[in-house]
Amino acid sequence: MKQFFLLSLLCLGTMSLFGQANAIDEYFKDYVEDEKFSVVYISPRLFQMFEKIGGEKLDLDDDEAAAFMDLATDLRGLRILSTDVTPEKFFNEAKAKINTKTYETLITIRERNGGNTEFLLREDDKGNLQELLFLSYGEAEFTMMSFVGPLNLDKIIKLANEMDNDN
Amino acid sequence: MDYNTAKTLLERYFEGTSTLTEEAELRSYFQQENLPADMQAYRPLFQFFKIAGEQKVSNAFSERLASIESTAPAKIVRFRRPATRWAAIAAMIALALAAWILAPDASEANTQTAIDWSQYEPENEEEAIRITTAALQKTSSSLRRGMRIATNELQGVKKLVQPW
Repeated sequence: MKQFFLLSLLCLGTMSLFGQANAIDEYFKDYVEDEKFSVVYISPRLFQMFEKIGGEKLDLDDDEAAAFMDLATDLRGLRILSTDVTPEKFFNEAKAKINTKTYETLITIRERNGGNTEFLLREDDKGNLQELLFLSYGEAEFTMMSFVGPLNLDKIIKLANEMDNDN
Repeated sequence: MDYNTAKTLLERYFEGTSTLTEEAELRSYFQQENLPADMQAYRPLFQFFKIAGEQKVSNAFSERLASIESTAPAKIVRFRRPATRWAAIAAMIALALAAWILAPDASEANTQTAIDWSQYEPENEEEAIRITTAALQKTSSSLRRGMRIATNELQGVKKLVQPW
């Protein structure tokens, strides 16, 4: 009996492990196959190439480039979905699909003139950041970006600050 | 049996040391018609067992008893521990059901073919860098905006709480 319990727990555990590599694979398969969406995927292989190329090709100054490279080399995948068809509808639909137990909302920005931006985080059991999911819609477009990798929020904020200094 | 022997046996009877044969002798002694005056008192004691032994139940009663015994054979009721076994089976079924209900998400994902992401990759590294830069810029600028709004709001609250 005890063994049976352990076995079933093990089975359930492995199921949930296999479940989710990223939010788009898990919730937004339809969107990827949908012609209305444009889809971009940057693989880990390409991120590795960034390191070789270095910051020279980037249209950024040195500090920005350093912050950018610091962040980019942590990434294990970037997936971007965007559409200009019914952005608000897709945003709300996407929000409803995401399991709020797995994804924690970091920031929500609601614009006065319509439009909404949301940052969602997925962490592993130890509290390490696994994925940053960015959802945004305005009048023109709905965009969804999934950054996968052992991300560090500080690095993102650092990049944000570097770019803020210029403007 | 003479008076003296009876007296001795009676004493032994009350002491509890008399044998069964001696008690039988006593019973037969007390059945005689004429007993000495001091022995009369003990007569009912020994006659009672004789009367009790002769008593019989009525025929009707013994027939009823016999019919009950023959028609209703004793049922053997044994107390096993069936509760634990059935509970175990029920628990297994419940677990299997729970696993089956919780599983569909995973099995559905497995049966569907995984997304082939390679077809969505940019054609060259420059393009990839451009896209990543744009994505990170958009993300960080939104994040920055969010933080700025949050900071402003906090300062607004601070002013409300501390107007000086």
